[in-house]
Parts: sequence; structure tokens; C-alpha cells
Amino acid sequence: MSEQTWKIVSKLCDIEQDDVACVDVEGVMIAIVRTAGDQVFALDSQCTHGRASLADGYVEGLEIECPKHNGRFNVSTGAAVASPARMPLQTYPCRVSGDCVEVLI
Amino acid sequence: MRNYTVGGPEAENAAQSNLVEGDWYKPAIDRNILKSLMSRSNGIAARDTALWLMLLVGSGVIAYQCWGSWWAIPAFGFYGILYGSASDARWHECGHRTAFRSRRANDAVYYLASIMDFREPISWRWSHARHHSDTIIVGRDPEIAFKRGAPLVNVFLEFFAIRSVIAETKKILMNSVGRTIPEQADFQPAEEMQGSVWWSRFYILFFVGVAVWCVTIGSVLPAMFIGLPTFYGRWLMVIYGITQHAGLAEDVLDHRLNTRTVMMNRVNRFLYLNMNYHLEHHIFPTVPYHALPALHDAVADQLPAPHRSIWHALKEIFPALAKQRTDQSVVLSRVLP
Repeated sequence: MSEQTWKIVSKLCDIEQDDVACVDVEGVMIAIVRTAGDQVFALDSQCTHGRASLADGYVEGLEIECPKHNGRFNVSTGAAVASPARMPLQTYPCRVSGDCVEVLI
Repeated sequence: MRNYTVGGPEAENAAQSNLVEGDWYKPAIDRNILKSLMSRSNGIAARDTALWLMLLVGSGVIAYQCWGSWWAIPAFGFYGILYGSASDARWHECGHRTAFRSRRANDAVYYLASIMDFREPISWRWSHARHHSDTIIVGRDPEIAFKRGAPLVNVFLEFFAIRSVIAETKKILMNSVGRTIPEQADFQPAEEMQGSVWWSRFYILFFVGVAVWCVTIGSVLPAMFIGLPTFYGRWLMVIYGITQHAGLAEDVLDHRLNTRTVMMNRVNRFLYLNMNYHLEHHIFPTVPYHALPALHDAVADQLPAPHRSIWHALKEIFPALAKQRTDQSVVLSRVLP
């Protein structure tokens, strides 16, 4: 298993507040969520309920809503907080360095 | 007639044709516009819900005072529409949890409307999620209301909720003792069954309680307010509902081919909570009902022209359903931009 390293995945200015952007990090599709309070989180972009990408999701506070079935996840923990989502999303350590968003993967 | 059984042989065909959880068409829309359309508000839904409940209570009081006179007929007719038809749109919007910003408010109205619609709320949440995954995919979608080749008398019976209440009663009775109907097991996770068990038991107690109340006082009046409006007030919901998908394509991954948008006046749009913009709702279910007219304007150039009115839609639907009785290859086609 290769060692995890911080990888630059996006510029912070490319993601608006209360929004999400999806990035491909070495074949893994990751949703980067920027909250209204400028916190940044990284989690798997594929909803655990249906076959839908969270790239088109709706961000509200610390939650992201799946664009297809309205299931919700906590972006900090990945926990499913509203049905039909039941299984949590994988989360990744994420930080902002300068204007760059970095993910540990 | 095709086998519409959810999880039946057509489900296998759908899987082999890559129609299950498929990649659906989406029109282009600026992300910032979509973000603003998706934003939630408690105020608009609170206003509309308060108006609905005030009309419901007000018409109920008038109906009660008119009981025993002919004036009770229009009074209960109006009460029935608010209870048995307008509740469906509230059930739907709050089921998506988009009507209010508050999850608790959405859930409270969802459960209330579920009782009015006589739908066990847990199983129907899962049923509707499947409807959005696999809209009008035969063998997958449990909410195909108007099946090709089905007798038109079924449509007539549904104006009074006969078939749907019978089916739901059967499901509730089975769920109340911990058993599922086969189709339910296809779309509802086993872990979510316990909620259906308890809600089913509540429904049985609740409606048996209303029946006992009627027997005790020797009058059907309590049931005229609770329970029976699901039957006598359902007709308008069926008129709205039939415009959603009936007669259009099956087994496609483009909502423009299997879902209709129908322009309606303000009264109908209030009762139906803008679900006349049904095509836009299916493509973007995260957009709340009050933003659907703006969404319609934003993507109209990429969608088929909407129907001008309910009547305009019904004029194409009923002849198509009649033709599909004998020729199930008949489909209402759409000209795509």
C-alpha cells in the first residue's frame, strides 16, 4: 500500500462558498465541499444510496444533499443524516494551504 | 400486457438494457442559477401550509354546520379536495424535504399528509426514491400509475382511490405483522421495515378508532372528516396525476420523453404545489416547488413545449390510453429541441 501524501486538488477560489466541486485524484472521484464559513471538506463524490454524483448536490450548512433522491450527508463526518441515504460517505483529511485545497490520500 | 411487477421479469430486461440507475439526460444550466433555485426557505412553505390548513379547517367547520342539509355536499366537496387531493402535493414536496428548510417541518407535514393520502410513510418514501431512480422503467418503478393495456375502468376507480386503498390496506395489514409484499422488498431495505411495521399498526389503530367513534355515536360524520375524504376527495389529484407520465414513453433515460409539464392557473398550482412543472421536478428534484416556475424559464429552450392547460394534456392522454388498450406499442412522442 502506497504512503498517503497531501495532494493539491483544486484552488480554493475555484469553489464558491456553500458549494461543491468534484475532482479526480488518482482515479478516485472526490467531492470538495466549501461551506459558507470557509471550512473545506473532502469526501467520496458518489452517493452511497443511488447512482448519483454529489457534484450537482446542494450544500447547506454542514450538509450536502444528493441531487437525485435528496438523501443528506454530514460533510464533516460523512454520516448519512437523511433518508434515503443510510450508509456513510468516505471522508478524507482536507486542508487549505495558501489558495490551494489539499487532500490527504 | 407487459408484466409491470416490480422485481419481475421486466426488471431483468431493464438491467440488461442498462436502464437501471441509468445516466439520465440533464439540460445545461449555470451552476450559480441552479444554486439559487435550490435554496430553501421556511417562509414560503409556512405561508402555503398555513393557507392550506386554514382552508381545510374553515371548510370543515362549514361542512359540520351544514351537516343534514344539501349545503353539506359542496362544503364536504371542498373539504375533500383539500384533504384527499391537495394533501398529495404536500406529501410529495415534504417527502423530498424541499418544501421547508426545516427537516422537522418537512417531516411533520409529510406524516400528516401520508395519513390523509392513506400511504404508509416509510415504504412510500422508498417507493418514491425508486420512482426517481428509474422513472417509468417497467419492472423497476413501483409508481407507474397508468399501465398500458390496463382497463380504463381502473382510471375511473382511481378517481375514488378504490384500487390504491385496497392495495395499501393489504400492505399495511401484512406489514403490521412483520411481513412484506414481494414488490416492497425490491425497493425498501430490510433494515427500514421496522418503521413500516409500527406505522402500519398505528394506521390500523387510528382508522379502527375512527370507525368505532362512528359506531358509538351512530353517525358517519367523524369518518366524513377523517378517512372518507381520501375516497371522495381524491378525484382532483388523479386529474393532476394523470398528466405526469400517462401515455408517454417507457424504458427511456430522458425525462423529456416520459414526463409532462402542464401550465396551470394559480389555484391549481396552489393545490398542486407547482407539480405541474413535473418534467423540471424530475430532472432537478432538489429544486423546491416554489422555484420550479423560474427553473422552467431557465431551461425551457432545452425541453419540449409544455401543454397549455390541463384540458390540452387530457386531450392527448385519454385517446392514447384507449389506443394502448389494444396496441401497447402506441406511445405519445415528443419533439425535442
